Amino acid sequence: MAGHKIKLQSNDGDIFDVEVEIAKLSITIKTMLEDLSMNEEEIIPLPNINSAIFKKVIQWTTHHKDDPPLPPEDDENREKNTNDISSWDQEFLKVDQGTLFELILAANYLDIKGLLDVTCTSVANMIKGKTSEEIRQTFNIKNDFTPQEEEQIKKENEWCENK
Amino acid sequence: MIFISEQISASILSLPTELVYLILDNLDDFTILCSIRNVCTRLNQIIDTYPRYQTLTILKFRSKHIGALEAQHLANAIRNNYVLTTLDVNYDSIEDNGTDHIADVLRNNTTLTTLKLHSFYTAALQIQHLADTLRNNTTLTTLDLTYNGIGDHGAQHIADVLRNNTTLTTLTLSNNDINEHGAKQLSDALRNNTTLTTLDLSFNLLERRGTFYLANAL
Repeated sequence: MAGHKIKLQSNDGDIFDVEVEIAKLSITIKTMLEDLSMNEEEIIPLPNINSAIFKKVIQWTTHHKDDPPLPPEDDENREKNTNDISSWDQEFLKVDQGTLFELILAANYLDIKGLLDVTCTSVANMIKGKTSEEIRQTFNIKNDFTPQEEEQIKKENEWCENK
Repeated sequence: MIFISEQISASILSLPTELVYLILDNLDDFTILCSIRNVCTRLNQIIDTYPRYQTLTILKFRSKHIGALEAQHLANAIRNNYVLTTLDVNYDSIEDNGTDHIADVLRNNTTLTTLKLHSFYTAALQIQHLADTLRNNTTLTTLDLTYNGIGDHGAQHIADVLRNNTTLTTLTLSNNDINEHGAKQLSDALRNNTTLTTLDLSFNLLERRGTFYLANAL
């Protein structure tokens, strides 16, 4: 069975030959193969993922294919230590923001928990320690509070500016 | 072959709410409350529905440095916050007039019931500011000023609070360099105060006369 490949098709039409064991790191694909008993000769379409992002996903799953399963969710550990991105992953995630968020969406759609965790952690690290204005700049977000809300914020700040 | 993507590239604002929650899971309460929530309406709305934010009733800082600006952000956030009941700041972590900002919050906030400001070595002037706001606050029930070196001067301001405040039930003034004069001020105030049930003056410099004053007030 090892080395056996299946065909996956991105939304821009490219077909990728991927080892079954690697493809199955995606719970979505695993379910398609096992529960829906799709024929392994069939081309499986992935309508939500383009080729560039899918290449990155394959690169990540290939590197992480032998990882031990993730520990179960623990309420106590919700506030995770965000410095724990491995150096390989850090290098892997040196991409533009559009790609990073596409990866989050892809990891979510394909249901690859490890990739989803590491990409979300990476975004969180970009937010840590920043003020609201710095966050706007980092993610190119427009301050869209209404003039009334803006006025409210201004009013709240008045008392300290007078000091 | 080159495909030109028509779709707008993904951003933090285009993520589904559940995925933004996953990102927030990695952030501390302070960042969520004081930075992210004030970025734009979309993030503001997401955080208002974020389960952890909705149940955030205790906010603690330990050895995390908070500059005057952060203290101001924090103050602004708490002012409009209706869920937070406990604010616990420790180890010299607010600089300059940071405690002034916190004190001003107490004027308007009606949900905060516990305020702990440990190890600030808050100057007497700031204690006065804090005391002024506490006089009219009717929700705070626990005030903990351990390790602040407020001294007799500070104790006098706290005594003034006790004369007027009718909601404070627990007051901790441990390790504050209060000697017999401060103890006398507090004792006099206690005679007229009927709500305070716990007063902690451990590790001060009361000596025999200070304890005598206190004993008489009880």
